[in-house]
Amino acid sequence: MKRGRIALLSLVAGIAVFSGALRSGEASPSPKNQISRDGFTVTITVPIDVLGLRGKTLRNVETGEWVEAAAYWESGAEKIWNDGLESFKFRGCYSLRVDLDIAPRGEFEAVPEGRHWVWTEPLGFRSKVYHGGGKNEDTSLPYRESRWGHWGPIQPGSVAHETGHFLGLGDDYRDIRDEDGNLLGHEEHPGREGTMMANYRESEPPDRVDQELVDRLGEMLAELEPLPPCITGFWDGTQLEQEGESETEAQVFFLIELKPDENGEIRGTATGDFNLYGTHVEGDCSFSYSTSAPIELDIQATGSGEGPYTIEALQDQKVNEVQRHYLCEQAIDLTLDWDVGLLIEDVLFEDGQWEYKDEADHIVLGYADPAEFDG
Amino acid sequence: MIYFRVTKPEDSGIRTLWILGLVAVLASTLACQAVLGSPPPTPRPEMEQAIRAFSEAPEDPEVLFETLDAQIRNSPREVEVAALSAMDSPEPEVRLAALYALSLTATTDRATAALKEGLQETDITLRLLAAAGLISRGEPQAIPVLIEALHSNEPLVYSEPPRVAWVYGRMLLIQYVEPEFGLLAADDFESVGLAAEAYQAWWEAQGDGIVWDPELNRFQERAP
Repeated sequence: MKRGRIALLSLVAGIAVFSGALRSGEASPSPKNQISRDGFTVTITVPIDVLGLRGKTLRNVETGEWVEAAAYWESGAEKIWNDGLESFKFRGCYSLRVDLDIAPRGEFEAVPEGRHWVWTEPLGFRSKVYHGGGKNEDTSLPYRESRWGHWGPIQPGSVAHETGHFLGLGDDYRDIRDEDGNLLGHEEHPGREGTMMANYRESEPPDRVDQELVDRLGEMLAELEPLPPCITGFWDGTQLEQEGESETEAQVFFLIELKPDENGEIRGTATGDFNLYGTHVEGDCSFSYSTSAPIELDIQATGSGEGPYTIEALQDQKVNEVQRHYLCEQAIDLTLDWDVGLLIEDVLFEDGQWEYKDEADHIVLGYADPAEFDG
Repeated sequence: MIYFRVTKPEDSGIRTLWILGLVAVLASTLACQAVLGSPPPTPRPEMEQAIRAFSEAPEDPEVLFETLDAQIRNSPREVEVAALSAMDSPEPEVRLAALYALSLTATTDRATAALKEGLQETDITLRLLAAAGLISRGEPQAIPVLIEALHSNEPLVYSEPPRVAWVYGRMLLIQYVEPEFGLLAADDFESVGLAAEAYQAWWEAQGDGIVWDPELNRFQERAP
């Protein structure tokens, strides 16, 4: 009789993720920018009081019409952000939305506590938001404190860029100076060309949002609101065993799909196939055997902060089968008895990118919504 | 409800003392000012320093601008006086900061005259700062400088967002002058240049045929 062994396949990989309770529709305690979640849609409300804007008009450069500035800024900038954010997800799960709340006020009117404020000025030479970080630094300060700035007669594209600072984003361009330190101009950071927070000296700012901007925004939100990730990928694993001249090769292919449930626990399934190939040798006699079975494991990911994460099966699946073989014409009933489980340890993500880890074990895991994963 | 101002803590303390302890004095001062006109404020040394700090190509100009912007917001009259006194600096960076401050704060004839002098600066950033301050106050002398800027692709120093001259000139003309001569549709250097020629012809033909509408905050063509 030949018995199979436990196929406990474990790996060391690395992912950085946050875990925590998923709370639907609950506003965070953040006093300035407000974060609210409805399922996997996270909305950042940016409250800005604009002093001196009440009753002011601006010329819409698209139509030439004179329009009420507050509504023009609010609807235009909000649309630019949300159109840009629509195509991307943070940590594979979360659609980010911006709700820009611009309140026009008199020039020296009091501003309610808990709102950012901007004063209007007629030049527009320097429309600024002092967001609390260095020029090129992201900071979550606007989610905790009121920030301020001043805007000239700018168009919604510029308002969208400035709103980016209220969202905590730094500029994606830098000053160019000569050897005496005199300012010569600006250049975009490599790879940031044409994106929302980059240089826009030739015309209105670019309105392109990319995954990097979404990740930078999401990381700031995650400081205040747990955003456990969606993890999707696969594992194409092999385990070889040898005993004397007998050999066994067990293969698994798992599609791994994990998503936070309503309690914030990251649960999902590993589905795929288990295949076994073997040769049994006794003296001069031998026979070969094989089997296969579909596998579906309930799995979970545990961890916190930046990881490491452990992904494991809640319960192993048994593969049990008796096969009749002949060893030099002697009938033998071979029992194949395998427990198929899953354990992946020390899983860390790097900047939300796909993680290719340990090519020998063919594991690929990354942030992705299982519903949209195409392998 | 609270009233937001950008002040240093010690400034807030001083103001609190004024408010609590000198109400009567303030009231009488306001009454006198209403009759006689307010005397020019005395510039505080830190305000002049905030402008003159631009003299040595600053490591982080954002910090200097943040300080200056806060002062402009909180004490515009004092900044105006400080900016006027810095306008005679031989250093263009200091005059840039002074023109920036003056363009945002000018209330007096002397300040307006200084802005008009600024239109003669050789550096286009300085000229455009002066022009911006003037056109937003209904001074038509700014218009030819803005039209001229439409032909320039030169980067503006310290502009935020970073812009070249024609982009900024276009923005100001669109917002402060009703006739637009195709400038709205022109969104690149070449097409803006064509619109600039139409602007120039219009300006030469009827320079004083426009009138500032203080209600609408822009120049309109004078009704025939």
